[in-house]
Amino acid sequence: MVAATQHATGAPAGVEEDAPVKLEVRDLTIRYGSDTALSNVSLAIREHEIFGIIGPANAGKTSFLKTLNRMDMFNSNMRVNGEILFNGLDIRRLKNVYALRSRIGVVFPLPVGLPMTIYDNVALSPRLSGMKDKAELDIIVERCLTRAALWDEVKDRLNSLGSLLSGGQQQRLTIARALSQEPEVLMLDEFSIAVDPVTTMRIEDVLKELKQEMTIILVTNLVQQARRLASRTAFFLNGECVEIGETEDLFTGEVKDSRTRDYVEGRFG
Amino acid sequence: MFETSELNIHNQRVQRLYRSLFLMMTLLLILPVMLILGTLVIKGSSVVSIDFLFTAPTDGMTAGGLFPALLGTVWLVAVALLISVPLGIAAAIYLSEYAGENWFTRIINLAIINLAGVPSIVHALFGVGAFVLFFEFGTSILAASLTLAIMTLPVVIVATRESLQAVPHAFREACWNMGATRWQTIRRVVLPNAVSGILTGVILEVSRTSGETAPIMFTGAVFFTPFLPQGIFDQTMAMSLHLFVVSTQVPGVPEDLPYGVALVLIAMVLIMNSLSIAFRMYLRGKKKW
Repeated sequence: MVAATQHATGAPAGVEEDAPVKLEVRDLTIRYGSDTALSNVSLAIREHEIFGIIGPANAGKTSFLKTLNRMDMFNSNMRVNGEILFNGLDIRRLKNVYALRSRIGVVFPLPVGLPMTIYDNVALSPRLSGMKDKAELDIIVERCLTRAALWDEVKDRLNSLGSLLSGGQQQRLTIARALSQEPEVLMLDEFSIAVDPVTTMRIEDVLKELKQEMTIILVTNLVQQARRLASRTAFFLNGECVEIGETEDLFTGEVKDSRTRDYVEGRFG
Repeated sequence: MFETSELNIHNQRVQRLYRSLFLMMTLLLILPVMLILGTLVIKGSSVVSIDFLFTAPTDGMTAGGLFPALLGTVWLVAVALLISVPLGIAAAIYLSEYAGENWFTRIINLAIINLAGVPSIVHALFGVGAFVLFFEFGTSILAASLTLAIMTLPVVIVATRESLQAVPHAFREACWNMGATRWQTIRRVVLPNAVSGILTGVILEVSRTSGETAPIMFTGAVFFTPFLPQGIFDQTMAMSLHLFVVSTQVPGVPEDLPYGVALVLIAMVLIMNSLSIAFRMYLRGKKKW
C-alpha cells in the first residue's frame, strides 16, 4: 500500500502536478469590522493532497477555514471578499450552503464531543441527511470509528456519553464524526492542541491514510507537523499569505521570503 | 517567619465581624418563613383532612371543605400552562437561537422585562378588558388562564432562554459545520440539553400561578359556585380567592378554617418547589459536559 511505504520513509509524497484543483481561492480578503484578518490570499489546493497552513496566532488561519465552508455567515461582523471555488463552483454565490458544509468535515482545536452517546455522535450526520436504517447506521459508525483509530477503545461502550471521553479520544471522535459526512475535504484546525503526543501521532497516521480518499487542509502551529504531513504548505503571517510552496522547500531554506525561514526555524512566533 | 502581625489580627477580626453580620442577615431572612409556616401548621393542621380536601364548602362557606377551589386552581394552572409554555418556549428559542444583535431584539427583551414588572392588578384589568369583554370569553377559566399566562410568560421565557444559553456554543458550531440547519441543531443538540432548565422554569411558574389572586378575581374566579367547572368557559372557584373570601368576606367563619386553606395552598406551592429543586439536583448529577 502506498500509505504504508510513505509511513516507512517518513516523507510525504508530493502530489502530482497535474492533479485536479479541489479548492481555489482568489484574492480572498477577510475583515472583522475595520480590522483586516486576511488580505489578498490566492491559492489552489489539489485533490488528495494534504495542504498545510502554518503561522503564528492572529495570522488569519482560522478565519480562512471559516470562509471555506461559509461559517462566516454566523458572524455578522465578518466581511469576506474574493472568490472561493469548490470543484470550480463559486461558493460565495451558493444558495445551498448546507450541502457545501456536509461535504467538508471540520475538526476543531478543542475536541467537541457532543453531549450524546458515542454512537449518536457518529450517526448524527447521516441522520441529519435523512438516514434511518439502523443496520446501515451501524456499519457507518463502526467504519468511521475504525478509521479514526477509536473503535477498539469504545466498541464495548458505544452507548456511553461522547462528551465524557478523554481529550484525545474526543478528538478522534470528532474525526470519526467528520468522516461520517463522507467529506470530500477535511479541514483540521490545530487538532493537536489539546491532545497528548501519542494520540497526535496516531491521528497523523490516520490522516496519511485518509488522503487517499479526500483532500486535507491542515492548519497547525507545529511546523514539524506540517513537515511530517503536508505536501505543500502556506505560511500565513499577520493576515498575509507570505509564501506557498513544497513543504520540503520551506524547511530546507529554499524560500522566497526570509520571514518564512525565520518562522520555520523558530526565530519568532 | 509566620508570626502574627497587628495587621493580621485586625484583618481577621474584621473578617469575623463581616461573617457574623452576613449570617445574621441570612437568619433574619429565614425568620418570617418559619413564622408563617409555623403559624399555618399549628393553627391549620387541625382543619386539614382528606374530607377537607375533597368536599365542597357548606353552611355559607363556614364549614365543609375546599374541593371546588382546589379543582378550580388545577384547571386555571393547567390551562395557563397550556398557553404560556408553548408560547414562552417558542419565544425563548427565537430570542436565543435566531435573533440577531439588533434594535428589534433589544426592544423585545425590554418588553419582556417590563412585562415582568407590571403589577398583577394591572394584568387583571387588562384581562377584563381584553379577554372578558373584547373577546367575549366572559368571566371564565379561559379568560382567567389567559391573564395568568400573560403574567407568567416572562418567567417561562427567561428560564428557557437561560437554559438554552447554558448549552455551550461549541456544540452548535460543531453541528452547523456538519451542514445542519439551525432547527436541526436546536432539535438534536440544544433542546435535549436544555430540557432540565426549561422544566424547572415551568414548575416555578406553576407555583407562582397557583398563588395569584388579583388576575383571576375579575376574570374567571368566583366567591362561590355550587358547580364544579366542566370546561374552559365555566366560572370556577380558586384556592387563592377562596382564602381571601373566607378570611375577610364571610361572617361567622371558624377561626381555624382560613389557616387550613392557606396551609393547603402553601403546601401545594412548596411541593411544587421541592419537586423543581429535586429535579434540578437529579439533572445536575447527570450533567453531560
